[in-house]
Amino acid sequence: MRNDDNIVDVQNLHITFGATEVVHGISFAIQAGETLALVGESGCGKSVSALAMARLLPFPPVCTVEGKVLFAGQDVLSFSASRLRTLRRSGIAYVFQDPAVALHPNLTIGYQMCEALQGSTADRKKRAIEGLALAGLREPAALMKRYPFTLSGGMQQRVVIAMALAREPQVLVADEPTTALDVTIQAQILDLLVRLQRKMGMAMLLITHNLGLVAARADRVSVMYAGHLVETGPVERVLQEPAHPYTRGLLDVVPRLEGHAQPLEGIPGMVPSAGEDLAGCPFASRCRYRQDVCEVQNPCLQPRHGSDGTCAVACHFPLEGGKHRAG
Amino acid sequence: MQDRSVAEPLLALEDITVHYEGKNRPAVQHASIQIAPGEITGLVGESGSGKTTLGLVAAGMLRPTTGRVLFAGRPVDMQERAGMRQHRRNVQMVFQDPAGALNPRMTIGETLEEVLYVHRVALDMRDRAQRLARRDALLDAVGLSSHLISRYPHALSGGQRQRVGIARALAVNPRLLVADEPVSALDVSVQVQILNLFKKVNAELGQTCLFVAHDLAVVRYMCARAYVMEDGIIVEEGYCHKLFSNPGHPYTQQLIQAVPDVKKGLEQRKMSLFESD
Ligand SMILES: Nc1ncnc2c1ncn2[C@@H]1O[C@H](COP(=O)(O)OP(=O)(O)OP(=O)(O)O)[C@@H](O)[C@H]1O
Ligand SMILES: Nc1ncnc2c1ncn2[C@@H]1O[C@H](COP(=O)(O)OP(=O)(O)OP(=O)(O)O)[C@@H](O)[C@H]1O
Ligand SMILES: [Mg+2]
Ligand SMILES: [Mg+2]
Repeated sequence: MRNDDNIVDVQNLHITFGATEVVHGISFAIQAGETLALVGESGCGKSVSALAMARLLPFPPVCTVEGKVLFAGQDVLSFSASRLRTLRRSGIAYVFQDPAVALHPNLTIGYQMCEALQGSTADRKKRAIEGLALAGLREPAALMKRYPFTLSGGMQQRVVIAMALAREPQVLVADEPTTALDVTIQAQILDLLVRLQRKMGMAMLLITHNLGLVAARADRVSVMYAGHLVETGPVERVLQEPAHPYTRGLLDVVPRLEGHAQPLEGIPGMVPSAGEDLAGCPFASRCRYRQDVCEVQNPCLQPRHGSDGTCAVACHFPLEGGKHRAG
Repeated sequence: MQDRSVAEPLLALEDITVHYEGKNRPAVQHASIQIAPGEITGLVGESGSGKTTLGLVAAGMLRPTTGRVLFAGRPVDMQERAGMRQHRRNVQMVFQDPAGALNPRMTIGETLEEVLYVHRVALDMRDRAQRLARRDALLDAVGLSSHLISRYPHALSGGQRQRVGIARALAVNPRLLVADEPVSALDVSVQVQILNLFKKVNAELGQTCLFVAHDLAVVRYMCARAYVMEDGIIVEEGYCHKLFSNPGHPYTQQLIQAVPDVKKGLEQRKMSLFESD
């Protein structure tokens, strides 16, 4: 999909650690003001793909990144050190799973907030307080003097979000920002992110393994499996009528509020380990609709019928209406 | 049919209050719960609501400030050592973070052998051969393949480590399992496997369980009855099918709102699209 509105446009991204390729040529793009969810099981390559966007991965020979990462039309992979600094300062901001990692334990919240900002001391302090308030933190002025360990996990994550947004980034990467938190706080933090994202017109890459979190909050979703993109499209379509059996599987493992007459089946088997030599479809060994061709030929990502190119799936026998066609 | 008492509870906590030193507010206040034998009973609430504290009291690992613990109808004397030791064997805990709960310097085979050795008298397993057979049976019961026996915890996935935690808890034939958020740290696809393992152990061995969670949909899937806890207080209890379709307490409604549910999420989208028009 080529589009000048794309603030981020990742094309044919390959990521290799040592001799092991862990991301095998994925592409995705995000427009300003849009939220793309990147979904998949642990180890499928979500975080490394997002880190590649700001060149935050180790240098070669430890890690090599190939393909194109266009940020506002410019290829990040060929950026000089100074342009990279600018990109990391105000282009792309990250919020990670564990807020404790992003906060220095021995510095006050106020110090760390001000460090993220530019301008005169008084001005930075004023904007730091505003930022904390915007992130839904009460008594922000008093909070400035506190240390991270005196805050609950949910409050710490709000501070991290306030710090990330203080730089007014064009793209916010939220990498499982709520996995370490309980569901109530999870919902609050995600709603906060979405609200601020809309208000500031940022693009957001929301990384998670839970499709339930995606349903209300993302515009489009891309599903990754073992370093491949296997399905992508608008949230309504993908979640209501998944075409890839893996997406169907991910939907079926989330317990539903209305209860279950039958036990959840889960996805049998395990994710293939990185570097395992797979000739066919990476999901074949776990797929109940597998046929001979699936074992020998890896399906490429192809537009879904009747989706005007908005949906794509990598499957030899995509589901229709969310179900497998018998025969 | 919200009956307030279980006919013959295996474990009953009566009017439990726990006041941690140096805190203004008790972590648990006047909480009473009953766990029916053979059932999985849920305990749900936000972070900090006191679930772990109450679970520790149930397992005899924390002495309540006031209140009584009754096991199979008999009061557990928290002051008396022999009684406590017995109670702690009767009630085993499974923790949220399986990595932190396992000894990093022991293989999973050694971890299980050690528990069996420590309890060899009570379990009547004085022979090493008996214990090794039991070890293998336990691994099998939790779905771990025997070639993992010589692995250390760090070389296992999160889901595999949690299976070891469950095997270790089951090793001493506990009458009650207290599972404290056993799946919150796991990937959704692994989560369902562990949930199904608890269900299987319950169905096949009749294992009674207190299942602590913060996700109501998980509790709905696992439990017939559940207690809802807010700020140290049990605010609602009942059968899950009623509790969650027709919650009586605003806090329960709030917890329901927070569940990451696909169907509900898609409905919310439609509503917010209308709003922004
Ligand atoms: N620094 C590294 N050195 C070597 N391999 C790495 C490194 N970082 C990641 N990998 C490997 O790359 C693959 C993708 O990892 P990644 O962290 O992107 O997964 P993920 O989808 O974010 O999973 P999770 O949900 O667990 O965060 C994995 O096989 C992982 O082991
Ligand atoms: N050892 C302790 N000393 C002092 N206070 C404690 C201790 N353990 C817990 N608390 C406090 O008691 C309250 C209840 O904590 P508890 O861990 O029981 O909650 P929880 O519902 O299990 O929360 P979570 O979902 O975060 O595990 C909290 O305010 C907590 O800070
Ligand atoms: Mg990750
Ligand atoms: Mg707890």
